[in-house]
Amino acid sequence: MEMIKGLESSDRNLRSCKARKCVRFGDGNNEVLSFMEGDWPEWLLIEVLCRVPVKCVFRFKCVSKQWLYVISHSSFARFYIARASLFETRPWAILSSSLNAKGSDMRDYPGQKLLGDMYSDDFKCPDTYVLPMPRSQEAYGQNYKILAVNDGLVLYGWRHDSRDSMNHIAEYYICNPTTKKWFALPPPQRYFKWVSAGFITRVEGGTLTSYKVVRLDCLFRKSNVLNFEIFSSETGQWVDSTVLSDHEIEVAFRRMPVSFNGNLHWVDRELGIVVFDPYKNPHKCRIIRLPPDINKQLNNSKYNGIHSLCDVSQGHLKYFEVSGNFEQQAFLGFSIWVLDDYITGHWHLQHRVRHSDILFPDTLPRSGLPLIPVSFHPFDPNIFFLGWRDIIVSYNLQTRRLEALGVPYDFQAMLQRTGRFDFSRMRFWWWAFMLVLPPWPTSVSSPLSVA
Amino acid sequence: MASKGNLTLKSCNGKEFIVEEKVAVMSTTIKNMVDVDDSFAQGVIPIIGVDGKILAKLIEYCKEHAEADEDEEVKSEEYLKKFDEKFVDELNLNDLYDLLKASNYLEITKLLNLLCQKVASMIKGKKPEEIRRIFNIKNDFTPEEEEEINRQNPWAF
Repeated sequence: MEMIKGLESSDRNLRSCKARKCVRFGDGNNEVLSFMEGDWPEWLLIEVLCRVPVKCVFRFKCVSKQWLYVISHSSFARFYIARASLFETRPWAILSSSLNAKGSDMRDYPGQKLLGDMYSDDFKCPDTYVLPMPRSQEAYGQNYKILAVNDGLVLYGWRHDSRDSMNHIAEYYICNPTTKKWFALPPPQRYFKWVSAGFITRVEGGTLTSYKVVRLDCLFRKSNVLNFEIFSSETGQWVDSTVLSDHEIEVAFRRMPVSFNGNLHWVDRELGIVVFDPYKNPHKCRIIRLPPDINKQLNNSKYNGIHSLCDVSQGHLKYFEVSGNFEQQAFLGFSIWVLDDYITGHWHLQHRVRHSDILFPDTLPRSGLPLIPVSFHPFDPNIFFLGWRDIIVSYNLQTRRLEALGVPYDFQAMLQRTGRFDFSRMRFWWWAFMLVLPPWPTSVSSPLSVA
Repeated sequence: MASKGNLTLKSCNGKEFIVEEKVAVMSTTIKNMVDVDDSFAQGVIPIIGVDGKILAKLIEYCKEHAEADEDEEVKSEEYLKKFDEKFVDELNLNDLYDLLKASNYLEITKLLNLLCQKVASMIKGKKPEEIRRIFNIKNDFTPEEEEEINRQNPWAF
């Protein structure tokens, strides 16, 4: 056999290759020759494994001790993430805030289209996602809420309303919905009448190294004093923090704070973006003024900010705003600005469209109902998602065309299960979160103080 | 003796191949040798540890790609894609492994990518036991150890 001869001399000279013997199976024309015997060169194993879906990689830990060693090494996760970040867009889904304890499943929206192909062997086969609900016996019904999503981790909690607080989360959980690994935070100490919660994560090489959960007391009026309660992974404790501002601030309660650049961002429709850094400066906040060409007539705070959205897209903060007279259901159009300079606060108008110029497909009747911003597409800069009646639609900035993304997959089932969910008052997408699965599932089992 | 613009490559079992320089320098290792030492460009470059059969395969690949790099119109992306597919499909496991080692040693990045992708496509979606069987890898875990590893990653199964 020509293939076998000369192997010994060749192997000796190649880096990190063990001498091998060739094993022959079968006979005659159907002969099968082995790849090699024993351990693969480490470089080869790494190069090959970083090209297979991450779910397969984790499954392959049990192929042999060598495979387990290579996959478990922290440098492999870094290598895998670096390579995946260059090439691929990743699976994503829009999650609704509402969770249902009876069904114990994460509410996703719209169902099949967006959640269908998360981590899987071929990126196509469906997978389901489950958030543990540790107190589901007590918290029957609508009492779990998703509060934030970062780095593929979900911050959610068990909601316990009381006289002191209208949306109090009695227990916060952090969960990786892929690996189902989760842990609970100690209960918060403060009862704020209305809470707006933010979540900042630091992830290195696929491992959660630090995080903060920030609760802000929403007063529904302007105030120079902002009261926070902050949980830090470093201390494992909730700590009060007060900001005395030169400005009178009233944040948009309907909008969750956005995590960007290690800071949280709330919107005050009159003042601008309120920037809060719980790591470096928990007693101060900075204001980034809104674009000068926003519609000054629009009184967005009246609707708690539902018609505007501050979000991250393509590495920039963007500000989306719907214009219209909402009391008379007169929807006029919308605009999108990009924050070019985070420090100086310089914006430019990226897109503006009038209602009459938006192309509605036949399936979506044109009406005066405003489209409500939900999220930017995580990878396509031309796509924006909006809530419209009971569904989510996509809008293409280039074609100005709307597309319906389908209805929630078990819309009816949920209604039957929960009974008391009032759709006329509350839309699925009023609180919705963009979950983008990271290339490597974020590990939450590292020895953080509460883990 | 190679004419100007050509290089002579010699396999470990003594087979000589005269190739155009642009083909040979697709290997970063060869490019560095030629750049550093003029005598390589004039004489014979020994390709240590690569036999004639594998060297011929390497040259076949580099020739197609060097020509395509030079003139995109002659060889379209689609043509190269088809060539690459055929090239890896015809390899048996032995040749695949030898080519992997050789392209790693000679730093032919494009080919190394292609071959690694080929192995990745062979293991993707498979069960661990299938991978052990295909590549003749010994399971050196005890059943208890294997169970413990799988218990830690139930989501991957």
